[in-house]
Amino acid sequence: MGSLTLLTFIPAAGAAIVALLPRDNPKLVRWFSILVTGIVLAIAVSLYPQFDRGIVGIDQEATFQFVEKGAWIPAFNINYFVGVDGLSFPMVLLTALLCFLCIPASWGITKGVKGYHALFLLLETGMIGVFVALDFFLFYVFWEIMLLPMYFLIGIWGGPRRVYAAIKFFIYTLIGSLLMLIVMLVFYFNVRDPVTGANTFNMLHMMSQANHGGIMSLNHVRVLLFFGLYICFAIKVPVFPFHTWLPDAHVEAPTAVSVILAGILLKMGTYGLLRISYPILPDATHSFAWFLAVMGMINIIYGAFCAMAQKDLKKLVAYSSISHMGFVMLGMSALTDAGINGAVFQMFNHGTITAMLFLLVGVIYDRAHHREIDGFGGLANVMPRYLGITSVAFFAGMGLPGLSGFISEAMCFIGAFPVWRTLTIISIGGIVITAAYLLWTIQRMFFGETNPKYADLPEINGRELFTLLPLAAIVIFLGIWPHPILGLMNTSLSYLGELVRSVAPL
Amino acid sequence: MTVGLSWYLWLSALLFCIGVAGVLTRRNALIIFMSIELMLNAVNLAFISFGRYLPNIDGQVFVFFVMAVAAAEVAVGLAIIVTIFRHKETVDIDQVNLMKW
Amino acid sequence: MTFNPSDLWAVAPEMVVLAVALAVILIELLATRREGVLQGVAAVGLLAVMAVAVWSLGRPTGAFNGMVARDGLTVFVKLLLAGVALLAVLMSRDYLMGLDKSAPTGVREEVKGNPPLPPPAIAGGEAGVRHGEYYALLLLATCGMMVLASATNLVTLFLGIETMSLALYVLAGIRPERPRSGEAALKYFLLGAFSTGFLLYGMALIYGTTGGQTNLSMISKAVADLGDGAPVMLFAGVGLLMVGLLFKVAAVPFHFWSPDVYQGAPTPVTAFMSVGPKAAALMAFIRLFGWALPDLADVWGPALWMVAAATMTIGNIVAIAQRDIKRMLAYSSIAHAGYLLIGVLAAGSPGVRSAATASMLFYLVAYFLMNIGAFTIAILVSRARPDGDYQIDDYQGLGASHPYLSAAMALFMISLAGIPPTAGFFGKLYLFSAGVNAGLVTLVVIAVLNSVISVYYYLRIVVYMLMRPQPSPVEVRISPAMTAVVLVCVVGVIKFGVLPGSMMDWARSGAENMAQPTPQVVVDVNDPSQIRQSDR
Repeated sequence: MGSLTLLTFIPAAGAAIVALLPRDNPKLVRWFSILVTGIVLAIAVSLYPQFDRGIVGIDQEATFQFVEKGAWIPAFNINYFVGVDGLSFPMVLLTALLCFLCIPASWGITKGVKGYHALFLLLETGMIGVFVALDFFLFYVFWEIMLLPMYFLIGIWGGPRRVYAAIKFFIYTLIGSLLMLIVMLVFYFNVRDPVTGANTFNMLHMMSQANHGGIMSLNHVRVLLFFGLYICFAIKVPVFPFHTWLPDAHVEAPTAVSVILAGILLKMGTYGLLRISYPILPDATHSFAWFLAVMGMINIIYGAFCAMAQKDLKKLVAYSSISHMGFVMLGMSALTDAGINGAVFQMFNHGTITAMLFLLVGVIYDRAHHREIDGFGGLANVMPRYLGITSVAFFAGMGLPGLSGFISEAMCFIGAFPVWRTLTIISIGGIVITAAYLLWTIQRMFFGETNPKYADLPEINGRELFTLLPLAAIVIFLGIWPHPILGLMNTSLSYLGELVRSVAPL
Repeated sequence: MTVGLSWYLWLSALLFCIGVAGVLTRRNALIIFMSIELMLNAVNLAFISFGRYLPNIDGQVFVFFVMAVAAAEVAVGLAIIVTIFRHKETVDIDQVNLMKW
Repeated sequence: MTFNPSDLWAVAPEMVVLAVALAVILIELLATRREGVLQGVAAVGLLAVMAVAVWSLGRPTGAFNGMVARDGLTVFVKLLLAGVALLAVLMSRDYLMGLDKSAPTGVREEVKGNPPLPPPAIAGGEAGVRHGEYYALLLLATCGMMVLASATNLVTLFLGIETMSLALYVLAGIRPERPRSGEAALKYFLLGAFSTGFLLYGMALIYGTTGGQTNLSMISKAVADLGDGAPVMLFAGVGLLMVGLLFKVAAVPFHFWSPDVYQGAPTPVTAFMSVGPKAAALMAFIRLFGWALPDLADVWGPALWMVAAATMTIGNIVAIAQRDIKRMLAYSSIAHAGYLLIGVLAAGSPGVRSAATASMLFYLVAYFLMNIGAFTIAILVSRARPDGDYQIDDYQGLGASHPYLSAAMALFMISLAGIPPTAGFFGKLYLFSAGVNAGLVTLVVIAVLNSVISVYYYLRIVVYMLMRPQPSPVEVRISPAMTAVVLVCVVGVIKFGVLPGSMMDWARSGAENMAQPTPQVVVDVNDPSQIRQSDR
């Protein structure tokens, strides 16, 4: 068994064991889950030094790393085919890290502890599986495996309107995956394995344009396929106008689930575009890159304005996610080295930053039991340490130099500017709005008169610091020296940009 | 005028239609049941006449099977109708309506 | 015509089922009435049937002069049917025992005017169910299904259907003290016998127009010879035959009986009926329409296309409105019959025939596991209620008090909805891709849209169980036999949802290993030379 298989299925095995642990011992369940996610994190980190930064991946099977391949369902020529490259490996690291930190952040869950942790671990399997899968069918199955635990985690452990939020999330995502299923089957029936001539789900075979046949050689079909995938992934990102499930889901979801939702699930959308749409339909991507850029810009501005209007702190963070994912869209639509690298780096950074933000929201919610921004005030005197960490996260979110968000956002803009001048300039305006609402929020929450109701809120505790400090350290460290993550992705992503750029638009 | 195969087939079709009409219009379970038997006998007539005119013995063999099965159906069917009657004091199928049809 | 002893292998599973059925009756009569013994004999007997079925596997051939087939397809279906019967037997015990203990003796409807008659004087258990009889009937129905699934002659087809149906009529009404049970039996019986009339009339017309053929491959040849000169009577015959079979599959518009019968019949019988007769009748469909009458595909194809589309759509839409879980599952099973008809249609186009048959086999296995599982949990939950009712509202908050049970039910619902990674998803994928291969793209799109509709009512159960508060505490007691049934279903649904390869391969080899036996000698009464020949 290879390391990627272990990485993917250790959480699932852990979930099965958690389900069998005694019900009256939540402590055991929590510590066991920490152990499982810790092992996964350890394996992921142990792969880091082994990862060869010089080879490409993307559409070349030989240069994928830690590859495992075996027949899964021979009747349909479906393989268990996993491997990582510079695009997926940072995402795997991010997933392993956030899942590990989310278990202690779930300490407050008291209802159905076993079920919660079992589903959480199952979710981790789905997420890592999506990032490592190189067979489209396998990718689809992991994509769906992710959907159900998320639905239950929101629907069972969420806030008062949890059922509504969960069903909304489910319906949106189900429509998306149905579109993906249809596109996948069209690919399957029109792509031939170059060796055997059989239909294939192998993504790398799909990426070789020579294997395309049937209706996939028709331009309008390719455009339809591109937009089918686009809608599916846009729902996940979420791109305006498919974003309405996100604020609801975030507001209702428990803290750790919000962290995973914003930190990792949103990345699935842009990851899917880069992993599937870009290399399989490079001509359509090249033709409609402008569309991605426009949507990215809309996301940035729209998300920022919506965030500014929010009274609920968690909703504010949710909309800020929409805004920040717009940077990713803008960067990747430019197809330049800096743009794509910046986009994926922004995916990673946003994962850490937004995780911090949601954890911080959880901290204050656990104490005050509400999230009204205007309901606080003067918390700086009450919780100075909390203020410190919040500032790091907020400053990173607004792209302050010296923190990781700055580098990735700057790269996105530098990459996008030569290609989409006007759009980029408008988008830069989004940074100003972001800075405005984040600073305004800090001011309203931490300064001014202390609300006497909250004068004796307890300071952030050790467990919470344990979840926040590693993220803060990463945010600061990557802000000063981004190479450890940026270096992982550079080779693959530059190749991917070149791949799309070199194909003539439709 | 000779009586050929088509005469028998028309008769069989007529009997079958009378049976179908009986099942669809009557409300008494026993009458419905008798109409079903009429349908089966129409089938028997068709089988026998085909067997005679083709000529092929299988049709008559089939009829024996149909008769045997019909006898079994009578046994089961009457038992069920009796059970219903014990509960309801009626065999009107409109009265057998705990669940909607 | 000679009798070849090795022909007995073709019906060996049926013979063993019959022997077990008789043994159960005799044991109850002569030795013991202990429930456990009877159940044990039936269960062990069914295991023996499965073993014999596997043993009987051989080169595809016919038996008894082309009356039945002996091939991989029949063995596969017989194994499936024996499996269905086995799980039904295992889940019956709790149900029957429950009757003996807590039976409300006759919720009788008072009739105005007349004094009620004394309760039915039926010997046996306190509630009037002779358990031996019950198991024997279950086994006899299984025997009929096996004959039906292996029939390659109109006579055996008819006998199989009737053996199955007669046993099922009685099973549906086996609780005479419950008015609903009797009502279900009456409805099932009257409509079933009615449809038998159509079936037989269709057979008679086919027999007449094909020059006296009852063997399926001979019919196929005769139809091919007729070519464009096929008489209208033949089309009428095919149509009537289709009506008769569609009734057994409970396809729209011949489905009216099924929700009532499903709701009224004892639940283990309902579970059994929702899978077994469907599987057997669909195999008959495949043999009859896919293999014997593909030449007439442009006659029955469009009709079946519309029936399939209507069946899945109406089944799913009406299921949404149900408040009783048995009725909901009944409509869901109508919808699943609609999906399965795609396979029959696909089998009509020659290139896809094996693949379509294989996909139906796989789908039936998946459907068997998830549906039996769902019914088992429905029994358990209903028994926690004093009146033993089956309201969907009873599932509210079940997750809090019975997490494992709810998780299993959620799994079955997710599988029925066709969401990966469950057996139901691969079943749909396999079936629909066969449909696409056969060019039924529009129908497959309708089916996919229907699957989305079905998510709504399947997930409603999940939402009720896991996301709603419990109105009042319930205690569901689970016996070892029930646990075993649920576990088998859970493991199967997950196994074939994660690693479906092996089952797909078996289904495919079963579908490819298919016999189309012809009679060795056609006896013609008017041709003396042939009679002499057959006397050899």
